[in-house]
Amino acid sequence: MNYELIRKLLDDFEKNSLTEFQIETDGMKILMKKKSVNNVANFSNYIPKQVDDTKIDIKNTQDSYDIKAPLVGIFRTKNSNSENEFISVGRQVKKGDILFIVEAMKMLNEIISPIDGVIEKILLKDGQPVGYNETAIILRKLN
Amino acid sequence: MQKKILIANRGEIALRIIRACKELGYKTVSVFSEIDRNSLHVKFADESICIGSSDLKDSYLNIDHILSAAIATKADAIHPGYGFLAENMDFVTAIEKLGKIFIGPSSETLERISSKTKSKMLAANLNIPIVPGFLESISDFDDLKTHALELGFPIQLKADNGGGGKGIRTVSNLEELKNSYDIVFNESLNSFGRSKVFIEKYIEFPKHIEVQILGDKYGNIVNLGVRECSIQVRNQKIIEESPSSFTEDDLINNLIQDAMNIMSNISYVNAGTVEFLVKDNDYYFLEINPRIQVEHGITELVTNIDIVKEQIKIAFGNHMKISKSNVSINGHSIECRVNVTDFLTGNKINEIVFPGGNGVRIDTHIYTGYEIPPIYDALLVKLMVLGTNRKQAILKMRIALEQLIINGVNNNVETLYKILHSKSFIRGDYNTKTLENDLNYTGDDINE
Repeated sequence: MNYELIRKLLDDFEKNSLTEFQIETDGMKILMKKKSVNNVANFSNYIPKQVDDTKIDIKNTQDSYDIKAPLVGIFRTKNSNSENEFISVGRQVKKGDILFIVEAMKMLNEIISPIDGVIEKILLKDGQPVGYNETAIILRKLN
Repeated sequence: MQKKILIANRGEIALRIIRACKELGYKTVSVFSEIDRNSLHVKFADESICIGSSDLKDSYLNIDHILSAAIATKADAIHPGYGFLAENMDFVTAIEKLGKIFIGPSSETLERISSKTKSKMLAANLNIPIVPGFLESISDFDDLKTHALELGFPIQLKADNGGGGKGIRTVSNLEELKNSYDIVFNESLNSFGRSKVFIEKYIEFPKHIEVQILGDKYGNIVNLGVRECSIQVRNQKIIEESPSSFTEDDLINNLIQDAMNIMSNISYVNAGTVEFLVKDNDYYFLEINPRIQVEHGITELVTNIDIVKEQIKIAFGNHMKISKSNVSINGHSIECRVNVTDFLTGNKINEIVFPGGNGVRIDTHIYTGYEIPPIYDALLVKLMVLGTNRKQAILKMRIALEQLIINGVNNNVETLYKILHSKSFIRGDYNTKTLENDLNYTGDDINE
């Protein structure tokens, strides 16, 4: 695979709505990802609201972070019309990435990652109720 | 699928409702604030969900949080208990809009009785006696003065949306009138956001009698007799009895008839109470409490009807099987509200021993090791007894109080015990002000 081809792939990827693209050929593996800035829940009648991360209760035990729900509601790990989960166990997240959504009173409250890390545990399933200050996700910090 | 009921309350009433739901085969969801994590209602429900911090506005008074919990747990119905959001029209309207069942009257009914003057006007139109007064809002001090002189002192100034002892003032002479009016006006504005104040004649030393009503969605209305709640400390009831301490049957019958009349008139659905003041041979309509009441248990004891179960069945659209012909009052019941008096010795229940035996009922949420959150109400235990007559009930209550041991938290058991031995109480010769004056321990023998 030559440089020209890679550049063309990048260009096409950039224009495409895909957020992730992987190709394996001739013993070479290329993985392209876009920053998930637009990966916001988009139910048209719902109002997404980013929760101020100072309000999110994070219990830091050494490198392990408990990410708790800042309000009561329904735990969501994907957009309603999408099959893609924001997160899965083992996936890397950057500070500011969406970890999950708490749906309450037709508002989608996005809970964002306070650190660069790896998802260690997801304690709830998509669609389950989540209580105030209930731990939903455990993150391991990446150094 | 098994239906699910969310209980939007805490403490003993949440447990009471959970038990009724279980008996009827409904699943239960408890909601709790952070400080209530170790409370029994959290452990006894099928599911529990934390709805917010210990701040009331963030939890038990937060409509959005409670509704979010109801949606998330897929609850079919919500029981509000008493206090908190039980009579909140916005809450009830929101539940109705969500297509869920509110276990209580409709928002339409609540609107019709949403203020003291609205309810009184309703009663007056049905020729039910109300306390003499002027129900129009007073804006001018000269008007107020004229009305006060016409009624004769003492008078009472009341905020239309007042409650819980706020926005009410007794005035005994003309000199105090201006100052009292300003206080009530401002209290009303600050506490209830509105400032309508009206004037009434003050009824001195009344008895407080209330009628328990049940109504279903098909126009059936039934009364479960009366309760007397005259033993009060600063307008808070502490001892109640059913039926009542006195036996003027005609007066009681008339008052029950009027209660039935006003509730039929507004097509009342679910459990509700009509409150009256009684003075000598007169009675006056006071208000309608559109919810289950703390003291409902003593009515259950004398009627053998489970009011909370009836509430649930009615809300789910069942026809009420109770009618006039199958309500009978058997015996006499008394309730003592065992309250925390202060937290000077701490807030942890180190030891608790409950009385028991034939005709003793205890509704409580406390247990050994429980730490009482100091931010909610003072109620520890509702101790109830059923005797074959009033005298037997008094004797039973005295023994029950002797055998109730609560260590760790200061409480009013001794005060209750003294009242159960006082001449005034034994003779039924007491009113809402007696406790503040002379309801003291005399060691009187009940057989006297």
